[in-house]
Amino acid sequence: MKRFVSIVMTVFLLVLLILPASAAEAPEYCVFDYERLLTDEEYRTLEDYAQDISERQQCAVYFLTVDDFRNYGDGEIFDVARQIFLASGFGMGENGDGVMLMLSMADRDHCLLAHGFGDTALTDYGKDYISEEFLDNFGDNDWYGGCMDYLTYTDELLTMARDGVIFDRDSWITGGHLWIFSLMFAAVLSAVICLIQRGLMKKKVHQQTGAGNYLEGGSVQITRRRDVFSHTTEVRQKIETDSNSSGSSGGYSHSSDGFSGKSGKF
Amino acid sequence: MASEITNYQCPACTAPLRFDGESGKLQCDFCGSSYSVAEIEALYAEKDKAAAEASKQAEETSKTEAAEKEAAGWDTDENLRAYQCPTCGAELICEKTTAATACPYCGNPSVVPGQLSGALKPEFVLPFKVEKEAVVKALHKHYGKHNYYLPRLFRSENNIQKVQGVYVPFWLFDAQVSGLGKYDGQDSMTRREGDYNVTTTMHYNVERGGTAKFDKVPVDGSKKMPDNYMDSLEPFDYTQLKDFSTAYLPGFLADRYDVSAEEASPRMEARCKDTLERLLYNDVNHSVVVPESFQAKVDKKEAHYALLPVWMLTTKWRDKTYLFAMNGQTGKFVGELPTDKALFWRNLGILTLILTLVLRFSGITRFLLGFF
Repeated sequence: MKRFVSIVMTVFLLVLLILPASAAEAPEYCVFDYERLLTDEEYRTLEDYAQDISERQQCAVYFLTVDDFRNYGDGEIFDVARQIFLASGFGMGENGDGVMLMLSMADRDHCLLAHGFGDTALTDYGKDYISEEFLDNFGDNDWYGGCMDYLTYTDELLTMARDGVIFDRDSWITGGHLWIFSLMFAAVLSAVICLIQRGLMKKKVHQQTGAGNYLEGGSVQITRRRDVFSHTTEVRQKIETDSNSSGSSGGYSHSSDGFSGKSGKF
Repeated sequence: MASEITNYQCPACTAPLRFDGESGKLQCDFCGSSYSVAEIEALYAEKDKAAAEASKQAEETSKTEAAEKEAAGWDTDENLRAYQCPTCGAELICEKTTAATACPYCGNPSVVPGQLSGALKPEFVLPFKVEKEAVVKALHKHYGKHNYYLPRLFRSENNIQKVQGVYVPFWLFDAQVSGLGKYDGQDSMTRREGDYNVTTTMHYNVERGGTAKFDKVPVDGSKKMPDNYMDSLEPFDYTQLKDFSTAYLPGFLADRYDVSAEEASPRMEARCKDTLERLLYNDVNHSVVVPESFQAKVDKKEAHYALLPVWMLTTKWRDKTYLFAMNGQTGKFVGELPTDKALFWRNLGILTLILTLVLRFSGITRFLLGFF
């Protein structure tokens, strides 16, 4: 717990340093690599990139690595990430717009947390999209690559949201696409209907294959009935789950105070 | 010398008689008299016998003449026969199998008893029930029923070329078939073991043997008649079968068979075996049944020769002849209609347009895309 307090205090003080300057300015620190997974050069590159995104998007983007999330709060990783976000005063603007990716190294857990505009821009589908990009890197212990992917794709989705398009399951279906797909579905359906109608015009004339109409009543006799057990076959089919070698897409969480998150293993 | 042809004439006024399906009697359209089949049979028994005898003699003479002509290098057509109309004396050239026709000069219905006597005599005849007027009505009903892509001009311009009632020679087979089917019967159950669904399938070697009897399976005995049309007209109601008499023929065409019972038998056997195969398959009670083999044989069979009533109707449109057939007893009508390709594509286009709008604005497209 002491360590949690020290981290929170450190983060809080760092944030305080930048708050007076301007609420719309990017936080001074966005990357908190407490587990020292990044080299100094990697850290600087990622920090600069995160700052740049935060300032451009007016939505703070954080990356945080800790030893074990259970040391910093109660509940699941989503609850702890939320507590850290709040206690550290993360987020930009009145709504505390922000996105945070936290890695907990003890059990290789991760949580992608979003709040305010971050929550608006990163739907569950959007969080899946970003997670798919970084989880394989983290699975291979490529921390820099994973964090870079996280920042890049978060930036992409924030940009889309600023332009008025929320990335979701059906966000790629725009008006034009809808017309094209409607036409395609309609053409297939119409062809089926018309071909059935045309078939009805032709099916009347056909050669008979059976003689069921001419069976003598009661003449059918089953003279042999034999059912002998032969062998057994067994098929084992793995029940599909979302987990895979490079990471788990995990579950989604939403809180009443505007946080949403997606957590799992990597 | 007696004529090979019998013209059934009204005993009251000598006008031609024709068999009337509705009343089941021979009708005179001129004086309105009608006669039962038995009455006409009694009246014409002697004439028919003499005509059959004459026919036999004529055939022998014809064979000798044909042989002589062939030897002399003449071109002879064995498929044609010449008869003399006993009413007007005109020469009728008919196919070798023709058993009943009409004289094109005097219009008298002419029966050739020699074609339907002795070994060629049918056992049964199923008299016509449906009248000629009903055939044209049935054709128009047929247009209305399946008119999706029927060319409009076909309906309006279409000329009915010929409507003809024909007694078609059929073989009615009684048969007993036995067979043995082998199957792989499978029953499965699925349980969960940890992260796995485990499906266990028990396989059984299944055998089913059985016999079935079939009563009067029809196979047409005429090469001229398309098998698919004749099969499509089934079923006939055999309870109305009558012992054969030429008195049912006046007013209709009739042919004697030119496909023997032995030649027709394989079609009957295939149909009976197919039915037995289905019966045995349906008797197997497993959740999945995979057929492995089926063997069947016909234990007993008996063929009955019968004439069954069929209306044949041809129409011509754009130089193509369309054939329709109607069961002369039940009124079942079959025949393929032409398709207007332009109409097909126009309907397809209009339907596509309407469905596009419906799918787009009802949200169905968005819903469907959710599955991808």
